[in-house]
Amino acid sequence: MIEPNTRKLLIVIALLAWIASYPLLQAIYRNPGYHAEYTEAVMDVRAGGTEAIMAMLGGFRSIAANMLWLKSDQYWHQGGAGWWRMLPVLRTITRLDPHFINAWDTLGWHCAYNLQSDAIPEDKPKWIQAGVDAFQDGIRANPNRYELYASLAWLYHDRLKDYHQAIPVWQQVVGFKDAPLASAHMLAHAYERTWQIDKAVAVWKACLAKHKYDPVAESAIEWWAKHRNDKAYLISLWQRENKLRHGVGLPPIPRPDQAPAARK
Amino acid sequence: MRATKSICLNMVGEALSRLIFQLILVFGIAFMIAGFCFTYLAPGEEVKMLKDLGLTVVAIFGLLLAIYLAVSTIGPEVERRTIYCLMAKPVKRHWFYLGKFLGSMAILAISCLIMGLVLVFALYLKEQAWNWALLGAVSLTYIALVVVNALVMAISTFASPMLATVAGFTFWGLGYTQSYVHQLATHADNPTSRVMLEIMGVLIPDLQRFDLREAVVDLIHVPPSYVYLVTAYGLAYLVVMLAIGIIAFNQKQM
Repeated sequence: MIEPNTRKLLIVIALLAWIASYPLLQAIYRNPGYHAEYTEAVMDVRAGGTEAIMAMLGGFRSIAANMLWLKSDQYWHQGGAGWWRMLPVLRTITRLDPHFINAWDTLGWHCAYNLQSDAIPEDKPKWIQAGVDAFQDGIRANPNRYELYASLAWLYHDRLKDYHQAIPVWQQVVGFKDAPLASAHMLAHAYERTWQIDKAVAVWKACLAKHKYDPVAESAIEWWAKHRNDKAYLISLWQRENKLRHGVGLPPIPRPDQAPAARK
Repeated sequence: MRATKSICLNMVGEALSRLIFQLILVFGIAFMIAGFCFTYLAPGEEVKMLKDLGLTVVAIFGLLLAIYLAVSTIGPEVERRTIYCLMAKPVKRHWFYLGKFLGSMAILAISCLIMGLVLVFALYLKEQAWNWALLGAVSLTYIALVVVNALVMAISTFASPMLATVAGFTFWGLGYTQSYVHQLATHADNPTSRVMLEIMGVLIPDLQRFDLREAVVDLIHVPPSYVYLVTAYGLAYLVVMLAIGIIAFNQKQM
């Protein structure tokens, strides 16, 4: 049998260790290594019992997210109604695993492109906005990954043809070390589309200086050296852009030589 | 101490030769390898899925093993009366208990290491790069498993194996909900509720803090200070569970 003194000592040690666990846990919660977003994203679910179910999933959340990812792929291949069924599945995945970049990316793209095209005309802007919201939520959960910034910039650039809004986002993408060269090209194109040719050329030159071999930047610099003051060429670009915008039901942009005044 | 070492080594040798240990390990590895068959269904996310599945397998099969080892350590020795042979010798009960616990720790370490290495190798085949960060995640899972093992072993000294097993799984489940309890405590307006939730947070360890799976899979940087804190937190609970176990085992009428 254990001696009474040893038993007392063990009780004291156990109590001390138990008490010490509290400040340790608080220090863990304050540590930058603790990612509250995993918990907060689940706590944010407002749909009744879903919260409890997700909490119960505990350590198997990411596995559940993977399983749902497979399900969403299955719905994608079904097409039609499957596309609409994909939406709650993708939203649940992003809640279960807020760092699942591909799920955020697919959710934003799916809303802004696929569901938007499938929706009735009056609902179309709503779905594009849902795509923007998805990318912005994804960026909030993953501010250190360039992919979702690039997707948001592409949505502004390609889907909304809102180059002014795309420019600051492309600039953020270019700021990432691991961002592909194409993002700098897109920034230059956004400047070109907003008639900020000097800034566009500066970006092309920066691309060339950084990567040495960049035939796209080389030919763009060459091109603008020739056409920079070619008003007829700029007008033809403007007409082409407006034709493109008209095709997707967007309002026309002002003529390049009138653009600053029109924006005022 | 020599007796503790002998008991520990004897337990390791005995457990390694048991069919159930080998089966748990083989099934764990088989599940990891089976992960390759499913990855083609997750376009663009094959590696994420492999890592997720692999680390979950380590946790699940590790948990099964931790609980099995804990309930099959003390109880059967008492039932089969083999413990009396040892107790007749100058071996103190707490050394016996400690030896059994260290033996369980060693077996868990061996199985986690084997499963972790298989996972690293499986990912090497996929990515052509050694991902040693996975072993870091496995090691923290190991600490969580040891804490569960200590708790179940402590309970098995005074309760039936069935009750201890149920307690182990419940402890694991509740441990994983502690982060939500913390969030609730943070957002609670009522001071009484906050204090109650904080107390609940102290009684049951937050096992999710030992889970680096999401960080490893999502390539999130984990500062070393976080790992040290979590390790210290796990050790604090381990000391508590061991002390409770030793006291309870000493009180046991045999």
